[in-house]
Amino acid sequence: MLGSLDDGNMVRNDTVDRRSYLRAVAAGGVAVGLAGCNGNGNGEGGVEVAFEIETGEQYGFGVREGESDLQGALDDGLQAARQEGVYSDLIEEYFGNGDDAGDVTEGADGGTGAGTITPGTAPGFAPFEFKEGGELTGFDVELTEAIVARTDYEFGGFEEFEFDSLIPALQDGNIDMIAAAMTITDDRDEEIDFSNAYYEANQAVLVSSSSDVDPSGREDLEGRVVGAQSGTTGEGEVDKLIDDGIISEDDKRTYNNYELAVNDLESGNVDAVIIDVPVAENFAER
Amino acid sequence: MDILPLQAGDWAFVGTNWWILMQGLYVTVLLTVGSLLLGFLAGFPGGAIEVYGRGPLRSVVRGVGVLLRGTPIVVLIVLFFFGVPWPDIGAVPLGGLLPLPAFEINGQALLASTAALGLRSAAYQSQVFRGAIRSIDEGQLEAARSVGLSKLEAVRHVVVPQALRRSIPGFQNEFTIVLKDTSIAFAVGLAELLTRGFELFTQPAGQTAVVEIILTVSAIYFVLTFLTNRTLDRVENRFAIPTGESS
Amino acid sequence: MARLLAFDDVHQAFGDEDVLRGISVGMDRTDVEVVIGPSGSGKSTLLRCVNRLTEFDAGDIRLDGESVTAMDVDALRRRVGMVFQGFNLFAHRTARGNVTLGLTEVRDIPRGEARRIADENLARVGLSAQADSYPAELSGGQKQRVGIARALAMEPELLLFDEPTSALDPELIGEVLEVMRGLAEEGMTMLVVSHEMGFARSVADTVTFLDDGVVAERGPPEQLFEHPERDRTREFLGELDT
Ligand SMILES: Nc1ncnc2c1ncn2[C@@H]1O[C@H](COP(=O)(O)OP(=O)(O)OP(=O)(O)O)[C@@H](O)[C@H]1O
Ligand SMILES: [Mg+2]
Repeated sequence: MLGSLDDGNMVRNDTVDRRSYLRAVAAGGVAVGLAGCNGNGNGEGGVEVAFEIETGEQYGFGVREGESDLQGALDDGLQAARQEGVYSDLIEEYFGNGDDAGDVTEGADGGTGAGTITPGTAPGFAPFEFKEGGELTGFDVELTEAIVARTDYEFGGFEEFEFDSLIPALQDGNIDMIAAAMTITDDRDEEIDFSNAYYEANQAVLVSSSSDVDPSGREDLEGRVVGAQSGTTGEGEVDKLIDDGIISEDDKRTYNNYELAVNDLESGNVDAVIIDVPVAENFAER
Repeated sequence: MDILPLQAGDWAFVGTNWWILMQGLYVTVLLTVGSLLLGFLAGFPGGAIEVYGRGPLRSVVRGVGVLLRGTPIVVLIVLFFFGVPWPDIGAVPLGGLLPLPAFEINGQALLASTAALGLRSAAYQSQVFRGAIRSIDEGQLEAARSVGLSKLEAVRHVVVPQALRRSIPGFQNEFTIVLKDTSIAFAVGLAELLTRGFELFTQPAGQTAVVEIILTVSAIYFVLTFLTNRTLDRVENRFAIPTGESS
Repeated sequence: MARLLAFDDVHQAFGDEDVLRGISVGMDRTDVEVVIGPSGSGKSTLLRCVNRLTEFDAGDIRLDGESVTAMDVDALRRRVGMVFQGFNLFAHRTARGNVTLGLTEVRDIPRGEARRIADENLARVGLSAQADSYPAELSGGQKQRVGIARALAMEPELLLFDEPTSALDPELIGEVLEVMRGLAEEGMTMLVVSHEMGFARSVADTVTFLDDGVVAERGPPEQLFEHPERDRTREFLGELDT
């Protein structure tokens, strides 16, 4: 697992409209909710990762343009967290065996003289950031706490936004940094600055354990129905399959939410779903 | 194969996290009530100005209305949040009543969302009222003027009470729209009902409970809509103007 | 003493349509004047100029010697009641409520007293039993009688009637005319647009034939109806009979 992180890639979808899905649920009530989940969904069948596709993208923490002090402090803090083993503890907690990494600020020797940092995130993206019992948690959340504790800044608590609102919130001064599984892209780099990458990921091809679909490479998906969350790198990979003539346009399914994609996989409506590796691992293990 | 893949364990998950949905419901109700109230307070005079107003005032009211109605609500909320220098009222503490643990929401996000939803609703409510006012025949206003009431008094005593009654169906519609649109406050991080539901099924322990959570949230919205509409039906009947037809 | 109501060369145009083209008539207290004339001749406009629902262009209308244009419009309307062809009752108020609105809002009479006055005036038009009914629950004749009670309660010096019975079914016309006849007997000054010849004959002091914005002929009913001087008048009366 850890090995795959080094050369893998995963993109945090920045155009997905969770909102429209959620609103549809509210408006249409039960019908919409059920539509994505007919058949024996709910994970009874189980899913597994068939193989991974390398994409070459990385996550970074966002800071306001020109805030090189904070940017440098975060890079140093990340370095310290890696050296002290906190980083690998967190990887283990969220992507590995699940053991609690404990108090991530323990042993941190940073000061508080440089001011308070209010990070912003967009929960709903396990295992990076999500809510549990009303509390915000996740890999990015704990890593941010660990890193800030190792700088001269004081941790001011997270603000929550929709993913698309994070960059405006950063520019507007509502928050001081973004920790939200945000892929470093040239477009974003023009608007904000990024720390060094703290995470890399691949795309995983997820299949149902109970089905006879068991591809070991892209070519094996020939003629299959393949789904992804719309707007994600995963969808881009599905499009590439179409471009390469491996699957037909009609066999592409997109979802507003990866939960629904996996639900459809479990109920046999799609043969495979292409999704970020850590998220795929999460589904495969539950 | 079940048609409804509902599982006891997932319902239990909803059960143990019930209070999280209730906190969301609290915010949803707060937003809905606040927005409708603001919408009414601004929309009713707005509608009256569109009918009775003159010159630049009416042009301004119309223009603003068109602008507010023509802008997607998510854009409005984001614009109001980032574009308006709200006073920093910090975090607003809510809940804390016995069954509902205390929690905090971002005060500026609450102000911005209420303002955006409220003013957008005002733009729609003004059209409801405008139509209702227009539907009251001019003769009644003249009759009131003929006994010596000023225009303002005549509008207030003759047109307004009838227009308000006729607005109830349109208002029911508007209520349902605002209730559902409160979920857009998600964009500025306000944890209303739908966001809370989303929070639940995107956490690892809730990932198998998507259907159960969506059903629950839908049911809550349904109950809210149903109860409010029934209440408004009653209000409408209670204040209905007798039509002379035996019923 | 000044005449109660005096028109002095009143002109009114809507756009380039001259609707009133120099009206000069007058009436005294307790007079009942009936105005007849073809559709579009300006009868309603004439009445509406009196209480300034229509602001006329030129000339003058004086109430008891005082130019109506110089008066506060609400004060003027308190003194001049109006009864409409289409009743124009307040749909959301009971018969009593229709009468009390002007009392409480314009004459500043306390509620209880206003109710008493309203009931008195409803009794005058024979509607004591209908005080709590809403307009939609009343017949056309009853509605118009509420309209009259509403105007009466303001204790006007002059009552304007604009075709008060023309929207009524024939069998309901009588009860309204009966009320108006009673008012005339009590000495109410009334300016009535109506084509009810029987009423005009028996109640009116003067009948005015308005044609194309001018007073074509004017005189006591028996003279105007039996011996009209003008061909135009005779022609119009002939049309009315058919
Ligand atoms: N507010 C107004 N704006 C424009 N034109 C008007 C207005 N009021 C009346 N008119 C016009 O003035 C003319 C006279 O109208 P008025 O209502 O006084 O006639 P009338 O004699 O009462 O007719 P009817 O017997 O049909 O009631 C008509 O041609 C009418 O269209
Ligand atoms: Mg007329």
